[in-house]
Amino acid sequence: MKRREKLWVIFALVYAVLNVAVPYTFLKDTGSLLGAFLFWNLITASVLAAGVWVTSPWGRDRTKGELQE
Amino acid sequence: MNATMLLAGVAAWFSLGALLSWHARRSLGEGMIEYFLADRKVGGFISAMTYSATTYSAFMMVGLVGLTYSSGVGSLGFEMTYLAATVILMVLFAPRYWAAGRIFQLVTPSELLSKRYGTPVAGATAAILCIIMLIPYASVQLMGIGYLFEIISGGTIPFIWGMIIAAGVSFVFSWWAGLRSVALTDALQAIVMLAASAFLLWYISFSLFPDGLSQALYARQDLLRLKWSFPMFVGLTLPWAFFAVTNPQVVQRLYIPATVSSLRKMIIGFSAFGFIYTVLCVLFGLAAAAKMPGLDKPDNAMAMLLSVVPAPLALVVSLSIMAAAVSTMNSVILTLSSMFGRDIVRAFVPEISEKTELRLCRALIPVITIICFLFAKMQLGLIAVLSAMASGGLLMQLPAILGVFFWKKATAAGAISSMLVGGVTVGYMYIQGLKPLGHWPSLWGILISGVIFVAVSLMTRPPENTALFMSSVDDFIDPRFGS
Repeated sequence: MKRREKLWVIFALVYAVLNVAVPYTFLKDTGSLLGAFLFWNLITASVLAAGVWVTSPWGRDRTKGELQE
Repeated sequence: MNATMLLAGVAAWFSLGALLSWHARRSLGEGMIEYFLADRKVGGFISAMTYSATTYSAFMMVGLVGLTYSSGVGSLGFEMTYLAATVILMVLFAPRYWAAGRIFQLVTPSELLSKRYGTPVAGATAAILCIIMLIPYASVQLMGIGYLFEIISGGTIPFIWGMIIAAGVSFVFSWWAGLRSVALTDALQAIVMLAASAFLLWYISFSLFPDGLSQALYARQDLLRLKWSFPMFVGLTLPWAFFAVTNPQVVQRLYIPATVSSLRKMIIGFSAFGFIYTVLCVLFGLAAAAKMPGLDKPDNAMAMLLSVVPAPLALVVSLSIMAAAVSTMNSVILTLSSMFGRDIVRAFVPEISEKTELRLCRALIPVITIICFLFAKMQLGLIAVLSAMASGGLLMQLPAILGVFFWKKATAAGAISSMLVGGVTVGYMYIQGLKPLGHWPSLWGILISGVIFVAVSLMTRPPENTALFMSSVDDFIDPRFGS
């Protein structure tokens, strides 16, 4: 596993904990769109944006020829 | 809605899809890789759209809307967790599947297990598990269309005819030109799904909620509080979180992008599609709950919303729901037929020619379609249980899949026993309705499956070519996917 992938796994674990812990503790009883609704939108958007970043080196290929991508 | 109008819409949509299939057929070459993987030459946009349309079924616009209607914001957490987990897994697994597919000329996801574990029994076990779990899942797509057409046509189009239409369309789109056809029609269907949902939200925001949806939700603050119990959240989310690596119809799509940048575009495109589509579907559920509370059947929430919008808009949204169901079903059927040929028939009759293998796989497409139709026609309560069980049952492949890429000591015996014991355990618990300590069968199943995988693997010897397999994949990935 490469360094960037290891960072990605750590990020995923932090996400997994926050994704459940925050709504089930701090936001459980917030009855507005600014509660769990906003939180889950934001945390998911963060993961998707991080996905764009972590895949940014893909295709910056150091090989040539048939499999040049 | 007028049945004639609905059927005319279906005919127009089918004609457009059939035209795309015909176009795909013209460039269809020979062989299994060509038919089931479009020769691994699919561009980024089409890859993203076919992945999205295959992943998101009619559940989104019917089931998720109903779930949000009845249980509120917890359903957003469930679906967003699924999306984020899928992207996390794709970043880790897509390069590996893509590379392994090219190095070993793989056609199906289970074939990877056979290759890594050095025995066709590993792939055959996974293939049988997938066939058992996915036929009910595909049948539910047909049932969804049957019910939808019956409700929105006011009973003029009976349940059975809605299913016949959906099964016929699925068959044509998948059989005619294999994945080339499915990928193109999926792209069309994904665009229809997203555009129709966006139009619907725009319309209901302005016509049903002139003061704004957020204002209307003040009266339904209960839906914005988290009402899901923790075991329910885990029980529903856990199997779906690993969908990206355990459901063969989406895993097979990791083999198809033409280049590394196409693969990246697939992930980014799916991320954008999934996020927008999820938010829209949840908003429909909240809107329905605010506007028409007290429905006996929450799954009818979307149908009720459609009853208060203009007929042309209702028609387009209904077609988008049908598109979601068909695009999921034809992908499942195509993948299962390839698994039957490659992982079951070829595994035990290795001398079979590729031409015969492909002929057998194609012959199986109508057979699986008919089996799904007959299954759905029975309308058994058991189908709902089996469908719910599908994601939990498929999850039992997870330890074996992780072992392929990340654990050198993983063995064939460990992989096979973990899938068998896990699958039987989950199946038994679902059918019996068992939830020990309040936790769902998928959680117990994956714990048991994981322990068996590790224990049996440590007691047996890994295949001799394990190190070679792993280094081949790593060597292929390193120069192409950066550091």
